[in-house]
Amino acid sequence: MYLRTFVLFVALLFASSTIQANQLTVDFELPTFDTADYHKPYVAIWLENKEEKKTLLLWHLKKRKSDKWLVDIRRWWRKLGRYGETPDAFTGATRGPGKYSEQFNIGDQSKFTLFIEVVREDGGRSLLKQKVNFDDNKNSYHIAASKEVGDVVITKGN
Amino acid sequence: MKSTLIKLTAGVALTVAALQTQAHDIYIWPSYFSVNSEKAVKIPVQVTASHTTYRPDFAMPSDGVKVFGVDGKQQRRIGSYYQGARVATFDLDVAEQGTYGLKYYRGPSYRTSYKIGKRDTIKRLRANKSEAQAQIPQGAKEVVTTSYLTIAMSYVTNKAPTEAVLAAQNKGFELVPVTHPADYVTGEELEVTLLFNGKPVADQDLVIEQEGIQYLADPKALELKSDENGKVVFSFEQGGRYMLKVNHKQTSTNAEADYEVTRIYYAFDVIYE
Repeated sequence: MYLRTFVLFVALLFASSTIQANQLTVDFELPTFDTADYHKPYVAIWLENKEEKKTLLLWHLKKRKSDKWLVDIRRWWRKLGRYGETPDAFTGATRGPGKYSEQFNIGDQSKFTLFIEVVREDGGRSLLKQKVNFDDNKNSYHIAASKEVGDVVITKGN
Repeated sequence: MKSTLIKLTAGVALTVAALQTQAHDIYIWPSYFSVNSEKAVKIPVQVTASHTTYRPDFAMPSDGVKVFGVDGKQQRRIGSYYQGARVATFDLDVAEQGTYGLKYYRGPSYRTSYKIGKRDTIKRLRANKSEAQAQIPQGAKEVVTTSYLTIAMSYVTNKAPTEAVLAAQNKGFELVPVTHPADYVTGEELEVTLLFNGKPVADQDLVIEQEGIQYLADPKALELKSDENGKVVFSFEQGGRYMLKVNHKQTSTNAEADYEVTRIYYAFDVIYE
């Protein structure tokens, strides 16, 4: 009886630790610009708290092995980029105007600031931030549109 | 911190000019302050003397340039140096990851002044104390010799910043960055320390100017003073390129002068968060 209870307890513990891997969905839009000199923007999404800084997404000119223009994603570069190469799993080529929905596995992080930085050559730059707390009673957060990014919705879970 | 944001009016300009008589500001000014390169890369550097921040006026010769690698040691070669009429340039070789130091030294040179004649006419000559003794006429009064050393400085960081090149030399008057120059961001407190032979220099005046005052609707300069620990703290609302100027004078530690003056011109950029 005791053994059965213990096994159940361990199983539940294991199951709960698996559930602990928090998921985050970020829905955002890259707006259309009516300009003769449009270049697809660089986009970085990452989280920061006292314990960790972690890149979740980096869209840039992947053709270059060492992309010298990464320094222009200014806050991301200063907090993360300059300290080492971003693994391929988090990077992608630049994308044009449209709506995007990106899912991220953020491990056991539950309280952090999520940053979105968008920089467009010959265009503007937007740096958005949102405090996210998995222990509050909100399911999602909304960030109002800015010049380089349309409305952003950050949702807990997939 | 004692800092006052002031308009760069003619009055202030005159005050600054008076502080820095006998010399133009010297700039050693990289085209990039932060770079990302796996491979060796060249960074254009300009060296010039000017009265306007980041506007070249007089090219400076190569003999004053010193480049310090990420290990803090001076590099032997700086490569080809082109000296034009109003600006000199060379390529900084950035082959390693970390922070490089750029410095330009001029001097020390000596000036002696004295008063002579019934009208106490002030005369000046380029001479240290020993040299002046042989040249100054009998009856000269208030003979004063001053040595002048000018140091222009800046930093270039490839990828992650390193500290070795920022370390204090504890020799003469120096400006030591406390906030790393690759981390100068608008809205944050930035800090430098002033030292003389390793000891804090308190109550020292400094000025910081933004570049291109000819393009600004409302040009401003920051007037600052070091605290009792030699610490100077400042911050900026506007990103851009700036020049910190400090003119330090004290009784000479060298027998060939009565006073020694060290002028430091520190070029840096500030980025928006």
